[in-house]
Amino acid sequence: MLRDPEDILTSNGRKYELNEENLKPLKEYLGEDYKLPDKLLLQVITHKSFAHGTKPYNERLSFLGEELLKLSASKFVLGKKQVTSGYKFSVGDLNFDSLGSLTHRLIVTDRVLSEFASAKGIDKVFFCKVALPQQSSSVTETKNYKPKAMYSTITSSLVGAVALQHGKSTAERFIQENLLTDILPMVQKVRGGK
Amino acid sequence: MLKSSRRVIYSLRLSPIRRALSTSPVKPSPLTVTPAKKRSFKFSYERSNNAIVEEPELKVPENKLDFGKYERSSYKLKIGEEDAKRIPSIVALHSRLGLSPSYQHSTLARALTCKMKDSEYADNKQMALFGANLLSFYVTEHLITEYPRLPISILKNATDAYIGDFSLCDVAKNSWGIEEDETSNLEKYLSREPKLFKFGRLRYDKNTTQVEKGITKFDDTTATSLSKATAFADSVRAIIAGVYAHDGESKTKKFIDDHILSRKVDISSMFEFREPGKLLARLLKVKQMEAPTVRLISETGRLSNSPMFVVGCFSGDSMLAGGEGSSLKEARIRSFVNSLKAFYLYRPLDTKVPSDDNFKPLFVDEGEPFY
Repeated sequence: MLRDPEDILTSNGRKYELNEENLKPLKEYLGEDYKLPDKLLLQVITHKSFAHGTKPYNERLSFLGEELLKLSASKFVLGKKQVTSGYKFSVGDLNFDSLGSLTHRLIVTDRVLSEFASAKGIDKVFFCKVALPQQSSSVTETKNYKPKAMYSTITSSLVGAVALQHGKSTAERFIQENLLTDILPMVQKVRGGK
Repeated sequence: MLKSSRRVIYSLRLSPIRRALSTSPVKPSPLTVTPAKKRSFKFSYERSNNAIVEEPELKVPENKLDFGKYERSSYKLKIGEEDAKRIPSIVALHSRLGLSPSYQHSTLARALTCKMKDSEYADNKQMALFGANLLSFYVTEHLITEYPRLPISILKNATDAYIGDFSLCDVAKNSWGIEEDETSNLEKYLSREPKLFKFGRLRYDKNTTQVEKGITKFDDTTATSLSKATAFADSVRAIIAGVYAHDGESKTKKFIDDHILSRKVDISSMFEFREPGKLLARLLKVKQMEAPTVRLISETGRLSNSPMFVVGCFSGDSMLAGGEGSSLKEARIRSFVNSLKAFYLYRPLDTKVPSDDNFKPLFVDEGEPFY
């Protein structure tokens, strides 16, 4: 017996379609500088779990995006060289000593990336199929249940899509100007809390 | 007599079954728990990318985001540029790799020093982490551009084939000629080798796994001990990070292209299809194409002991791929596999990776619903 296509192609009460309403949050966020084709935008907000993976999904975009995010995070960390010029153990003016520290590792994590997506409102429309938590939790809780591993792919695949559409240098500028400025305060908040 | 012996045999035969079926009121002794089998190795991008440097060995500044002020507390000594230039193997490695004059020899000496217990010299751990970041981005970018339809599992395997510990170990040992520091201090003293020369070889805490016969093993693995492949691979990663530090990113990209991406990796052999016919039928259905049909194209020696059949796999009028085999069934299955590979290994013409100049938007695959 086949399942009702209407049921499969609906996520969080929103129907899977290539229309303005679905793409509005992402389009508003990206603006004119980093404009992406509509089809690609829909792919960014579709997770592999949605509709048994029969619709174009964002796994590969997020794979590339995450690699680029990690590289940019490391480059950002290395780039802070106001004090390093005199440091004895720096290599060609770069101080490698902060790499691998907790603060550096926190920059690209599912937790921070999914928090970023929800802070910017780009996770309002996201097509995915969530394995719900235990039955005991209340209705409102299940409605707001957003698994980090899934929702972080919105941010990372957005970066991947920008890289594949506009090239690496534009994507790096996008990360510098739009992502890191918001992510770093979040990292500091997490780091301070511990 | 006969009857009783028969009964004995009968009961003997049944006994194992009875034991299995009976439910004993006595609680069975708990099974001895065998530890879960650990994977013998991890993919390199899981390992060096995720290197951790914790607080006691790291001096963290008050403002944790002030990354320039982080300092490793164990660092006290460093091989200077003058000293490094006096080590023959470092000078040889520098010219063998064709590094630019701005690439300092002392960086090479540091790249060959892994993190060791009680060592006060600057090590390559964090440089290797950055090198791993660079490598995994450029390799992923290359693979996604060249093969946009590669399934993610194959993509990971292919990445590992380029920049996994074993591949990079091969690069370090066999093409770059990096040597391991194996001799003891006594041997060095007896051969009158200057103390400085050991910094020209790869130094790391060895993770002993195989014990020679007649030698009692005592476990001396520490948090810093590395396997041979990881140590060699980390030196390659650190050298690449050094290229970034001294010559900038575009030179690094060129360096990775020349030394890592130029190696041949046979991606098509990484595929393994369980039921190629079913898979192909589903794939064509998803892509809204006609179901596959296999047609015989030519044959020789059907009645001989070495026949050969050539078939083609068609979807409607278009041929997807051909296949040949010594039986019709073999040829058919080969044609399925070839058509699946033709789909997954699709390569666009004249591609440019995102980090190239004059980049044009790439073909983005939709992602396959299976495999």
